[in-house]
Amino acid sequence: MNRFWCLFFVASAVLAVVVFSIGPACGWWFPGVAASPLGQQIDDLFYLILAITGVTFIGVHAVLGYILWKFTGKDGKRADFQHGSHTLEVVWSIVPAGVLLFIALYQMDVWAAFRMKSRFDQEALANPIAEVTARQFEWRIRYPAPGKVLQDTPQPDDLYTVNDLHAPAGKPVVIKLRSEDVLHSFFLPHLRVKQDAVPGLVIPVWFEANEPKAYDLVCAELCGWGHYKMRGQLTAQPQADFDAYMQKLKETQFDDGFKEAAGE
Amino acid sequence: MRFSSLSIICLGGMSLALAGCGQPPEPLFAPSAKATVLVPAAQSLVSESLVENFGTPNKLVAWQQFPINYGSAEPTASDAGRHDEGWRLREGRNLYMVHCLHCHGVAGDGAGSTSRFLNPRPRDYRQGVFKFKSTAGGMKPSTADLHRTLVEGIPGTYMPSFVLLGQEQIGLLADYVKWLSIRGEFEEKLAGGMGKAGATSEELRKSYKDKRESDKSITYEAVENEILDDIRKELPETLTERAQDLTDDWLAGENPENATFPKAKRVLPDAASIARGRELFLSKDVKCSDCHGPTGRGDGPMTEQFIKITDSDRSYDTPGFRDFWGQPIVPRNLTRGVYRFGRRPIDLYRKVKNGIHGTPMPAISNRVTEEQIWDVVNFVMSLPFGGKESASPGEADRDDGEAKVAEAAGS
Amino acid sequence: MSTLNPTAGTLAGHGHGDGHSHGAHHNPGFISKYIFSTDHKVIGIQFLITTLLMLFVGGGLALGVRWQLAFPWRELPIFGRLLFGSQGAGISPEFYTMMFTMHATVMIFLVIIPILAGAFGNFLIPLQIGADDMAFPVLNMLSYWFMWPAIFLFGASFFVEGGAAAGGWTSYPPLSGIQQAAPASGMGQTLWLLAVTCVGVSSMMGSVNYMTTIINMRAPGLTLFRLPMTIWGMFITAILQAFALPVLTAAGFMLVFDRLLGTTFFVPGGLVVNNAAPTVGGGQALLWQHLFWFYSHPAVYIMLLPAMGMVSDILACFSRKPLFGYRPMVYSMAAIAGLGFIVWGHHMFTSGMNPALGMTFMVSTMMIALPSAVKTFNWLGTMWGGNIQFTVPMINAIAFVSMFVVGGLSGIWMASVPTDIYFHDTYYIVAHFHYVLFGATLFGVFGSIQFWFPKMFGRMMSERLGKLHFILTFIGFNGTFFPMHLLGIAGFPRRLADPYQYPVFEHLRPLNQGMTYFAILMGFAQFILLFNFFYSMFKGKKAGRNPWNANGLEWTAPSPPGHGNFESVPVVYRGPYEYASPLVEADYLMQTTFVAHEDRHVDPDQIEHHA
Repeated sequence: MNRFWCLFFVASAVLAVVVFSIGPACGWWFPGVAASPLGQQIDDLFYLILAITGVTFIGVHAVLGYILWKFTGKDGKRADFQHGSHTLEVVWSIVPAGVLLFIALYQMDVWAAFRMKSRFDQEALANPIAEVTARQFEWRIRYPAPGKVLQDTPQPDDLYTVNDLHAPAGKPVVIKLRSEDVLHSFFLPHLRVKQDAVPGLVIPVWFEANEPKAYDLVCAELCGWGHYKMRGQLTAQPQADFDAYMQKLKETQFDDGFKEAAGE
Repeated sequence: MRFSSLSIICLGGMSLALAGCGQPPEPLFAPSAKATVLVPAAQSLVSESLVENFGTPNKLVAWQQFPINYGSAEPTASDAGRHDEGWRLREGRNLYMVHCLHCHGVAGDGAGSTSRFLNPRPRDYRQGVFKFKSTAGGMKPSTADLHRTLVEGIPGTYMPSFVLLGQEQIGLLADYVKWLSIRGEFEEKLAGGMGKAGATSEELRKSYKDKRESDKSITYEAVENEILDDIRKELPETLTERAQDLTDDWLAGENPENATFPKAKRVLPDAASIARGRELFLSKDVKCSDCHGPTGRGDGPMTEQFIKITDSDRSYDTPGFRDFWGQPIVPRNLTRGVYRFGRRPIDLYRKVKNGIHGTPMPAISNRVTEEQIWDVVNFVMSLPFGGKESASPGEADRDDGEAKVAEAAGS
Repeated sequence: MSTLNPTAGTLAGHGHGDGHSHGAHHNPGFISKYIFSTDHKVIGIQFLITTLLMLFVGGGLALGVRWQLAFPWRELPIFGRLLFGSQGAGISPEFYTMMFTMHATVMIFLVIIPILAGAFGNFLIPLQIGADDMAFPVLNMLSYWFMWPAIFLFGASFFVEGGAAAGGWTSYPPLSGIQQAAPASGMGQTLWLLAVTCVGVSSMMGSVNYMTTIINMRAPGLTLFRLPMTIWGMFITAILQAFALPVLTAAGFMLVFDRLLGTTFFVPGGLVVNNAAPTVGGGQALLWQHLFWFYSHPAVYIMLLPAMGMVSDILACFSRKPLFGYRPMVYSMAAIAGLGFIVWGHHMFTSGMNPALGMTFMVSTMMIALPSAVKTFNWLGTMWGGNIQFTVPMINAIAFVSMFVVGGLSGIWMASVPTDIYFHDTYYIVAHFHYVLFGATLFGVFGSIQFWFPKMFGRMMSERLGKLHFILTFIGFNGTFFPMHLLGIAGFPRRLADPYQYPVFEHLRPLNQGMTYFAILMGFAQFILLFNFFYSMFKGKKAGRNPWNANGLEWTAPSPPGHGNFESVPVVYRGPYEYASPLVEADYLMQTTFVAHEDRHVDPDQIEHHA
């Protein structure tokens, strides 16, 4: 009966490993391969840490299983009278310290690429494609008129849409992220991009979609009862399609309804 | 202990679970206020005819009379005219229950659980009154108008955009909303008619008192039965009439000829046009500034007045406008650049031309020309920019734009 | 009297004399004995029972959340028709936000913190250090009774206009700062802030008391490095509380001022919420996050360190072997506490704070994993070569170690900023902190309840029911929370009332439904604990003074200990982990047992005096 507990805990650890291994096969994994170069780097880091933690997890549980098997209590048996080992303490302090420090330093670069303005693509930074204003419970998007630069304040020829952010694919683009009321978070799961929208701040966010296609835009910071309603979409398009879209947007937005009447 | 204790726990848990899982009562559409004031017998007449013609939330009835695309379903043998429920109606209901229910309520009465915290309050469709539409006056909106509201959302309110649901699902939702509105208005009119015929508890007590004075032997039941018999006798005819009226109304809204379009092209939004618009905005004829204020901030002198309650000779306790649904409403602050009906010139044109049904915003005077309406629109669209330039594609200042590009790139 | 007394050196005047004179002219009635009692044991048990009941409240709310995630907008069993009958009987979205907010609030402020510091801290500290009571017994009583205004306020907030707080337990402004921002941002949020302040007062009174008691009232011979790990955990926790809590309290009052008096600490100007007039002023929304996490990150360790201590005691006892690396264990605990103060920024990697700060916090956060790793290895070292007895406390303690490893390792992704960009506010976080707070702390607590139950009530809890409860809870727990890692990897965000509105998460619905079934299993399993607890209180097997053959001072007292705890002042000759000592025949050697010729570092005067 006493071996039962060894098997119990080992089985749970084995099950954990199994669940993690079949996760991708069941679709319970990342929403596809990262769709941006930065996302790819983040994924690589994820797998690096997964390898390190996976080995640690399996190692610790193997030791635990061995202990529970080997040292199960028996009548008349007596435990070792032992208070610790200086050598072991030093070893198991220094080795993890080294590993952790390595992880920390190794990824500074990716972080800098994501957030340090000096590391942004300077041309994209100078020409943000849009200002995205989060509000309860939608994303209001303001584009500069084709050929113009986005200004901090609304301009008479700005173009507006809601929830559907269009951007050219295959090159880094910058948006300016604002909030009109409470905290929101601009989350593109496929591109591995997330940035809170903070009221009172205008935060530049850059991303690059590899493929021209539609990606989900998710709000990831609690913003009230309708938090779940903030479904948005990033439509990445080839540059030509994007330009055509902007032209069409301009025509729709400044439609005075006169042509229809003339058609009668 | 051991097993006995275990079984106690299991039994306890099971009985707890069972206590909550009796046979659920059939959910119903909440009755309207006009129905709840009726005497019980009249109330059940209303609810019976509603259940017969429109069904319950879980079992809808598609009344083919109305101009709604229900989707195909097998006609039932007993009543060839009324279908069981069409798949489009059912799907629309399912979508509505996920996306709309919490604000607009099961019955479309604008009384969902979240509604009372929202400003402005969600629309009560049952009155059949819609603010955002292309048609004039009290006409019904077209399906395309409902569609547009769902796609664009209503900026400045909690009505979000559902554009990502796609055309198909938005179409289903628009039709279900239309159906709910017809159902609600049908109920309102039916119950309202019975109320006018004296079937409310209050009226009945009054007429009983009157009749007692001339005839001491008359009983309350006799008075009630007399009124109800009249109502019952006319009921089939009333139902047909009401249904016909609603059909006509919604068909009229759908008619493309009834959509408002300008007869002249938008006047170029130059400084002169903005100045002319400003003059009209402030003028005694057009009087925009009475409500919207001289600077367009929505703080005109009329907002300080006490407004009379509809069908009553009393006024509201607090100053300020009320909308059709009795909720406080303020004239739009035009300097914020938030346009609930949309920011296209045609949207603003329609608002100025037709007014906004269900609100104190009136249609503009007939004497004002098309060009003058455009001047007002140009002025309104310039307010977010300090009245200096009006929202426009801005072809004219392209050079200026390029200068800005160069400047920004250099910095 | 005992409050002023104690210095460990003077044996004659020490507590026990006081204790007896206390008992002699003191015959308390029912109310002062069991309700407004100043006896640390009664207060501890009051805390324990209150928090166990709150565990069910918090658990019920969690099941509501799970229901919504599995079957959004479908009729909620039992309560649905009662609460939302007219609107389809499904949970309404604003009620959903209330449920997860209050679930976290109840679990953190009314269960985990008070069950560790309040229940076990109160009960164990005087017993394990050989004192007759706490240093400040009245303060101690007040610390319990300050829980009740909090419970009342949290409870009442459900019934005020707009309902209970719904801004998440983190209550980030402006959502919590602007009254119109959500239904519950009105009265409910104010009550929430006041209630948290009450809990804070309660904690602070406890904290002052524990520090004073542990420093001043240790039994003769009980040096700091002879303290059981439980006491170290409580001591370090008390210090953490004392330094971190004032910041939260101040921030809470600032937020209350923002809400009620029109100050603008946290709310920037120009925000338009729900068509209210635009806000004015120049507050900074991020300021709250800094202040909040300056308390709440150390609070994570407040919710963990005492459990680590208690589990160390249990592991050594049932391995029948000395604790491996006692001093490294103490140092690593202190290191966790110290580093705990400089890692709060890792909650804010995506918040928009200066990216250079992000790098700093990443390094400090990585480093805090180190003492945790050291502790884990030492626990394994403790069991290695032991003579392991699989009692209920022991299997719970082993589960603690196993679950803590999972929770600790998943934390590394969060410490690393680039991966945290992706995982922030997803279910990966939810999985992580449930593994630490439930998987580790709560299993530790379950073990501790069964370990010290005989000391509390003089009777044993049922082993069979204990094992059944453990197995069901362990299966239910892992079934519920392990798949959350996968949800997190899929990007599934927290706090969404209907995540399936996003097509990218639609395929996760079956997984969520499975998790909900496990959660229901886990919820019902807790009734076994409840039954076992109350049944054994009256009908359990009688226990002697030392049913587990353990070494600690508490096991020298009667079960349950009388007023004043010890019949005579215990004199301590050694640390609490001398199991399997070659000095004696038995495989345990109590701290008070005198062994001739032992090399012990005790003042010879004291020994002679005692002998």
